[in-house]
Amino acid sequence: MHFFSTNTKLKIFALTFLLFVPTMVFADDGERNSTAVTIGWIGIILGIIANLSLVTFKIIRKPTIVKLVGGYDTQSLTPLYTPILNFHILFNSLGFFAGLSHGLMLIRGLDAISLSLAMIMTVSMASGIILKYAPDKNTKFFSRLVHGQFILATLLITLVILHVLTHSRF
Amino acid sequence: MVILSIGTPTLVFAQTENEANEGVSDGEKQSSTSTESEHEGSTNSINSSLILFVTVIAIASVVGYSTWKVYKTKRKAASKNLV
Repeated sequence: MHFFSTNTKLKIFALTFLLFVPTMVFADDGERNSTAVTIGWIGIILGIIANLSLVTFKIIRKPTIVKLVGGYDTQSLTPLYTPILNFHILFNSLGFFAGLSHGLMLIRGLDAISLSLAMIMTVSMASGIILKYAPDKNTKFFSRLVHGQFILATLLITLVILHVLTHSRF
Repeated sequence: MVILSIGTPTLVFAQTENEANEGVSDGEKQSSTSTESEHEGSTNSINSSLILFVTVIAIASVVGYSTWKVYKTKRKAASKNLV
């Protein structure tokens, strides 16, 4: 018996997760881990979940992987694309705003790495929004090219690692 | 989104206030800087500028490449229409 569709289940999961965000933030009262730092970590975790899900989905849809693993075909995965894309958009938006809040809270500690990270995040977010809502074909094509560039993704990962390494007190 | 957009400004103000208070007490404890730390500072500054420069160049090149690609596709479509 199906009570909820896949899309509704995803929405319920996301809303439940949202309820835990303030709890996680306020539960941390230590001197080393302030609210702002926790929000930053939440942003990173949300970003990892959002991007890994879409990347994994795109990888398992590749014909070579289907042939290698077997047991399913690319057609059977097609209905899952929209919910996964919505999940990617939702979690990345939340991650972006969490990162933005983190940056605003710790604005006095701004350095080149953080600024570069903010710039890359903004470019990725802006191109993602244009990709989703642009009515014009050429604008959509342009934003798809910008959003999917390997160099930006690599730079984003590198800057996140550098940001964590330079700001964390292990 | 609504929860975040309402909660964030409050958190920002609270955190800024806390940090301002901490900053005052930290500033009193600070000692004088040595030559070694000045040298480290200049190296860090060069690295930081390099990181920022690479990021700006990467963004500019990605935007430039995408624009060129769109322009090329548009021109191709226009020439096809002419034929």
